[in-house]
Amino acid sequence: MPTSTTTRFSYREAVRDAMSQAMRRDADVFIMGQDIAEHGGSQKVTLGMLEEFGPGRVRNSPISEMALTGAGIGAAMLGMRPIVEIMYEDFLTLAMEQLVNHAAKERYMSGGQLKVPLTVRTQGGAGWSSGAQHGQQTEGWFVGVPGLKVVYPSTPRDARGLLWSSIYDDNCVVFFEHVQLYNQREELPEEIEPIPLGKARIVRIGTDVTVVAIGPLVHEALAAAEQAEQEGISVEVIDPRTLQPLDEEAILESVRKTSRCVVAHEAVRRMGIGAEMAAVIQEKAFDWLDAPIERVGARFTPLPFAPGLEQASVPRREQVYAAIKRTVGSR
Amino acid sequence: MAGEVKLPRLGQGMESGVVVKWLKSEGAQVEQGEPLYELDTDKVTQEVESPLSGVLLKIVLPEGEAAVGTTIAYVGEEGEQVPDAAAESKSAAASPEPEPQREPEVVSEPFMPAPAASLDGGEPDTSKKASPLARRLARERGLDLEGMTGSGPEGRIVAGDIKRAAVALDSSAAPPVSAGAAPGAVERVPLTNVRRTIARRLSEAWQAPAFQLTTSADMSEVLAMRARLRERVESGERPPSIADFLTKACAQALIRYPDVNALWLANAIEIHHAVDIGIATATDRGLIVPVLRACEQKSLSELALARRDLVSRTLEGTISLEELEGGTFSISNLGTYDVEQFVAVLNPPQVAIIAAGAVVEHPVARAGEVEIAPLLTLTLTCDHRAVDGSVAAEFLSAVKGFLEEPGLML
Repeated sequence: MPTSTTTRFSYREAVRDAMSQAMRRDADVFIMGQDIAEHGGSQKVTLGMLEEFGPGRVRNSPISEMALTGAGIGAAMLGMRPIVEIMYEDFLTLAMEQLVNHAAKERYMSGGQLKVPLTVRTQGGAGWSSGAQHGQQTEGWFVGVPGLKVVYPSTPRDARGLLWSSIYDDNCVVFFEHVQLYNQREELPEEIEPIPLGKARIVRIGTDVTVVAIGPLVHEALAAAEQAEQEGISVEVIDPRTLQPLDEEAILESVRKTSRCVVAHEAVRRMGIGAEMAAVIQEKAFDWLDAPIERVGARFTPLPFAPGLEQASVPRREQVYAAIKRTVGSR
Repeated sequence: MAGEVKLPRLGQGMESGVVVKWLKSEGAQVEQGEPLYELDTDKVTQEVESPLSGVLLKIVLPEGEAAVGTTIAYVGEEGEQVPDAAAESKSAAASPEPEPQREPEVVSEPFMPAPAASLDGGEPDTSKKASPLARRLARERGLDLEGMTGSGPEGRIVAGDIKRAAVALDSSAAPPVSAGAAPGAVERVPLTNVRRTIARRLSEAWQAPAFQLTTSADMSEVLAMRARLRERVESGERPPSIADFLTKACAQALIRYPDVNALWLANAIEIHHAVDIGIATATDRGLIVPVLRACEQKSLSELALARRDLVSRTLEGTISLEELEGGTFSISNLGTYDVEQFVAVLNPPQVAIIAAGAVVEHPVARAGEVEIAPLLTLTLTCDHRAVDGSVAAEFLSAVKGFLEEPGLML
């Protein structure tokens, strides 16, 4: 075994490390975004990168998500591997035309003559009273666009390994980070372990019910699983990590084992990625289901500013636990 | 790591089996290929050989039903850890009784262990709220949801309910024979696997649009030939029986009319040119139909030997599952009883079955004279979806012709 020293990385540092290592290795990789240079970005993810790589490769952009994304697409089509940071995922709406009609389509419409190896990093999520326009979860919107890949890591290790694979993927990847996860910490080796896109991770092994959770809900699901364990309910937790392409086989294999499933995310329940996963499960594992699939997600409301209301609107451990209990019924 | 002994699939369509008895105890040395346990499927009970050599570390399923592929034991090195051994021993320590005793409320609340849902016309029972998994398990085990109590939310029947019901059913599958029931008493006999299979298959058969044709064959020549053969066979041997002549006659006629030697499949009719005849056999476990292979290639005496061997092993219950599968035609013979004529129910997916009664002397009119002749009445049941009346009539008269002139089929 090679002697590899490990370092304690925060999720924020893991994201930064993937970008920095790629930029050290490859002159084609550079980053663009609002206030990412001297200021280090609104969440300080790129802090210190200007000093190492200089203003040519760590570029502040004007306050125009459309221009910023379009510039990234153009650079990508001409052979670069740009990373664009969208300050909050709420503002992806302003880049929608570029992402949906160009980043996702150019490779297809040019018959493969062009490719768009662009990574769009963004961050969001509730829990800090950011109001209705700075804490939404929008990952589900992009899963419905053929031509885009969608990644949502829940741990430092996954964030670093998946961001690396996203940078080196020849398609546009929309990469979601959650602001509440930035201080999660994990021991990681210096050398990056790339994680392939489209591979789920079994976070916890169990036999009675499968919880498929993403982002912060992975951690909430683990806490709910511990609580359920006290009552003799054995919970398996799966993190798909990549939402497009989705590792259907891993999910189906688990559900066929447990016969029960809860899907959980912080985005609103309606039309969330959980709805798609529930549809896949009922199509392909119907005869294995012993209970209706439970969906856990935010209430169908703009995210409230008031901390108490915000807490009441997004799902946490209690909601996952309650859903687990419903699937096992009066067992 | 210890190797798993899994419940094997011993024949087509086998979904589960009942472990009846272990022939080795935990801690014993077993060799690969050595008989390890007895398994009751819906057709036969047979000894199953150990797939591995080593020490029988743990018997997970001492007795009772399990699905194909379920781990029922572990074989490995002496002292080796068995997966989940801790959990197993914990539950065993908590309740050393077998499953049914752990769920007394289910046992004391009997439900109708009815044949498969297909009895009512192939439609699953939709009136009960049940999970998809529970419905599938019930379908596979031939259990009826009606009368079952659901333990899930809103009374939904869930997988656990089916498993408990199946265990309760099997534990009562061999009821003690009540010695001298009181006059007027009602006996409740839970269905055995064999009974359930009979019920399911015959109910399936009943849905086919069947028709019957009847004729009588003059058996004078067959009886005369038998009498001659009886004189020639060595002492201790038996000449071919009426049933053997009938089997031979059917085999010859099926070669001529392969449309009758066929299977009705969902999208096609499968016509066979090898004749594998199912011999309906009454056993103390119920009706079992072992298959006599390649009848068209066997001489009358070979057929007689093979048939006798097959029937005696069926009666003993030592027949293998493979020998119960793949027939292309069936014969049901009640000739040893005082029955002259009856109608047999199809044995799906076969498209025809012939029913033979006893050979009985009857007055017959011939050229203006009344004679006495030994007659065998044959009734052919055909699935009209596959066989038309004219083909059936030609086949039946060919059988009759062979029996009346047995020299033609030898």
